[in-house]
Amino acid sequence: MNKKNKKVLLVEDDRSLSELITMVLELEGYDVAVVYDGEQAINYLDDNGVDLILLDLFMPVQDGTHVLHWLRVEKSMNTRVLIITAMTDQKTRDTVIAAGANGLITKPFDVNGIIQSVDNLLSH
Amino acid sequence: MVWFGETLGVFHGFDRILYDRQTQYSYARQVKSIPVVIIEASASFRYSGATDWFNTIQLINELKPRAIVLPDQPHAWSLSETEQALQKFPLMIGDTRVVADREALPLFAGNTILPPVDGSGYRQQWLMFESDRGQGKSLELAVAENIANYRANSQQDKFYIDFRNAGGRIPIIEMDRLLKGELIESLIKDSVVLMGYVDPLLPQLSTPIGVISFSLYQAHALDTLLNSNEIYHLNFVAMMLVTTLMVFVLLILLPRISEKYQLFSFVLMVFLTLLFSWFMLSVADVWILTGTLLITEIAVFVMLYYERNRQHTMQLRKMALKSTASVEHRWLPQNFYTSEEHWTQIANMVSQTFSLNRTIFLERVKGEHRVTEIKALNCSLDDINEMRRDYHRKPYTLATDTGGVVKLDSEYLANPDEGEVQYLAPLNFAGEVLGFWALGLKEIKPAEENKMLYAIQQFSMQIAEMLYHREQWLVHKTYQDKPWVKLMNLQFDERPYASINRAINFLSQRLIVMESVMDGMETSAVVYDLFGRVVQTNDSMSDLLSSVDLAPYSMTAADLISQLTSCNLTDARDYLSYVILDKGTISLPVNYKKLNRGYMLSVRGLSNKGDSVPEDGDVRPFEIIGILCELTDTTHISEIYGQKEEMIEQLTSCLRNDLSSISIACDLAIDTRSNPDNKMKLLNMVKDKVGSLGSSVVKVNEIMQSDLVVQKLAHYPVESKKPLLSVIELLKKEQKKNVRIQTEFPFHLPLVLASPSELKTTYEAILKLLYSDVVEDGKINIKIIHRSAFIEYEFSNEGFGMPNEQLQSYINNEDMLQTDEFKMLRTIKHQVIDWGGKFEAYSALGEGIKFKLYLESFQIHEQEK
Repeated sequence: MNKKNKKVLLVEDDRSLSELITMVLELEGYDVAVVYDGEQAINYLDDNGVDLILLDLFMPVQDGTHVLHWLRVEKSMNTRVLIITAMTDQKTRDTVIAAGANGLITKPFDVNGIIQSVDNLLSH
Repeated sequence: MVWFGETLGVFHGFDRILYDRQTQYSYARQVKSIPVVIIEASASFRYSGATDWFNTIQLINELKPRAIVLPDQPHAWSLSETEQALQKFPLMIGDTRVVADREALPLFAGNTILPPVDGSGYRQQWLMFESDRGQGKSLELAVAENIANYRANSQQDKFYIDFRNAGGRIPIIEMDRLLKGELIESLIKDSVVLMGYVDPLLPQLSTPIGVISFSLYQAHALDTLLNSNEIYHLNFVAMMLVTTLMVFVLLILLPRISEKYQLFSFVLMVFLTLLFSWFMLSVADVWILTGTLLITEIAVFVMLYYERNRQHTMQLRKMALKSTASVEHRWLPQNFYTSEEHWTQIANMVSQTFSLNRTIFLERVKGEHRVTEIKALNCSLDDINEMRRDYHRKPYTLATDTGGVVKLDSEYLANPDEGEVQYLAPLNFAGEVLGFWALGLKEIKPAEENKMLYAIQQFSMQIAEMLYHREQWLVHKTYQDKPWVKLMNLQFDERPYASINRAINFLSQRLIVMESVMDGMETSAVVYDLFGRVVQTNDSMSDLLSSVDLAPYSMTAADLISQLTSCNLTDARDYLSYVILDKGTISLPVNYKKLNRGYMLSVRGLSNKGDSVPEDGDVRPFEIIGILCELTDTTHISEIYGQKEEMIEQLTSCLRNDLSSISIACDLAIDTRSNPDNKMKLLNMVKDKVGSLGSSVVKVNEIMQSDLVVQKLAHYPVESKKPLLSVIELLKKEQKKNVRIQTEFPFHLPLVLASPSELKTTYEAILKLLYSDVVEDGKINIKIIHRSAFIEYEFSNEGFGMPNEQLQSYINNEDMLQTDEFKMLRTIKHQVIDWGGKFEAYSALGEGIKFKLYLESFQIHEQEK
């Protein structure tokens, strides 16, 4: 897979974490765009296409479920979505999968964990 | 008693009456082999000449009688003529002369003698009699011996004449008919003819068949002996035996008959006795001294009745003593009601409650006409005129008759203050006036007077009860050292009914108080006995279980436990065994779906405290008198402590984020591909995150230390979505209008800083107002937006609305009079500001109302911007 052609949108309100994830993905060769809340994510996606969205659930203004709903229901977009969340309960997992997420990775995760999840989703 | 009476002949009069009546109505078929006929001559015939007498006797003899009986010797006959007549005719002459110095003449068969008196009448005739001449024989016996070979019992000196069926039994023929030759032979043949006289000088005798002549009496006596029809009366010994036997039989039978049938049984017994006696008289010619028997029966019945009543009364007294003693022992705190201090407290309390100028409690002393002072405040008994201390007079009688508080028109307590009005209330307990309560206070408005009088009446009832206890305790104390006096007074002075009535009244009042306590409990409680039957349940439990379609009265304790906690019946029984046998307590979380709130079920045994002995038949195995099941509402506590769980969850999220950052930063730091310039940045980032982690934990730990229930914190990180959802749910259930509630909530919200217990109230107040304003088929919108530092809650409706200025003035202006809902909103506004938040409201007429609530979000550590 040619990672240089892949664009990833990172939606994460924790600045430190988003910076670190961006560094990891860029080291892997991905093109990464970063927004910090759901509203910004919707605005970005309105104008830009991406191959993968790394979407945090728990964010201000509009949270990850709202973005997912907008993507799948309002826009009917098939863009792959990988949920990154600190919530480990089954209910959250079921909710996001039912809402159309393609995968979920729970925090804390390390570099290998995030790279593996992203690679998996983009290679299919 | 009967023996004694019989010995003294007390019952004879009654017996004679019965004898006479039964004789009159008796149906006897007497043997009548030798008839007796009376030929009745006029009194003057007695003095006829000898020849006339001869001719008359001749005439009678021609009719072939068996014997001719003359009650006395004809005056005209000499001795020789009498001898001649005796030889020629079957004549028997009675001797009327019973004198000491006259020799007994062989001419006379026997003595014509007046019968013995039997009470106020005559029923008997002599057989043998004692006189100065010695023993004599009656004419009747002589005739009977001669004609019928009658032999009298040597022990017997008289006999009872048979007057049964007396009507017409002895024919009476007038002498004239005989002299005219009108008599036919069959009338006289083989009969015994008795000569009788119609002489007013001759005695008239009162008999069972009425007043009859001596001749007729004699004829009946003759008839009785000639035909052996004498009536036998039981002798004294026989009578004693019969009555004794009767007493024993009655004493055995009567107690076994139920009380309600006793009178009927007695009447039946009397009837049977009379019937038997009539039967014996009619058939067996025996008189069983029925009067004595009836007296015996009545005596036994009365004695048994009295004895039964006496025993009942004794039982009642015993019960009354026992129950009142038990009640007093359990409920009467010694010295409490009698102490001076206690009455002082009461006086002070009522004085303060009613703002009294003065007050005095008076006691009615039994046996005296006057009242005495128990306790007074700002006055004394001396303030009451001596003439007005008599409780049989006004105003006491007025208060007693009214049964309530009366306003005194004339001065009662001397030297009243200006404007003071005085009242008098009777202290009434269990229907008895124990004393009075007089009070003086400043005149109050008529509108408030009724309320005050009602309150005074209520207080007076309580004070009356205290006065009763005081009396009882004083009585108890006085007689404590004199057990025999105490016993006598309790037994003879107080009727058992009054004592029981008081005990019952007292117990009733206590029961009412206990029931009120039980119903007032916040926990829902039901008490079962050991056999699974409900003994008592409070209103809270009844309402709670009925709201979820559970009926405690139709289930055992095991069933209830099983239903509420969703455990199986076997486990429930095991729990109960533990409670009963090991006297343990179990607490189980309630897991019943229909219950919307959280409860904890506690089950424990109620044991006998050991100060009362179980009554006969009162079964109390394992010393357990019941099983108490309590439902404690833990919803509020659960909600409050749930906040801590939420905080832990948020902390966890935060930690996970930070650990992710640390992990990735470390990996990047050692990754050879990383820019070396970034390595220091990465290491600093790790350091910062580690520090932040630590401080987050410390911060959360500090917050977790606070006791939410006790401290009632106004500023605490709380979960805000769940209470709102709960309020919405409640609103939907209660709504009477057709209103849609539309919500737009984020999937997850951070905690907000607010009061755990007041946040829900805040939502309720806002939504209640919106609901009251919304139009039918309208909408209420609720939107939550997670801003970075604040959470914004927007509540709006499609309603009537109001001018915005008016809304603002309602919320901001404290002085404006308005509904409770707007007053609540004002409170909310202040509360939210205290929480560090903001509250905004907006309205437009015809559009509706909008509220915006801003609550500060809880940040475990500052977000980077």
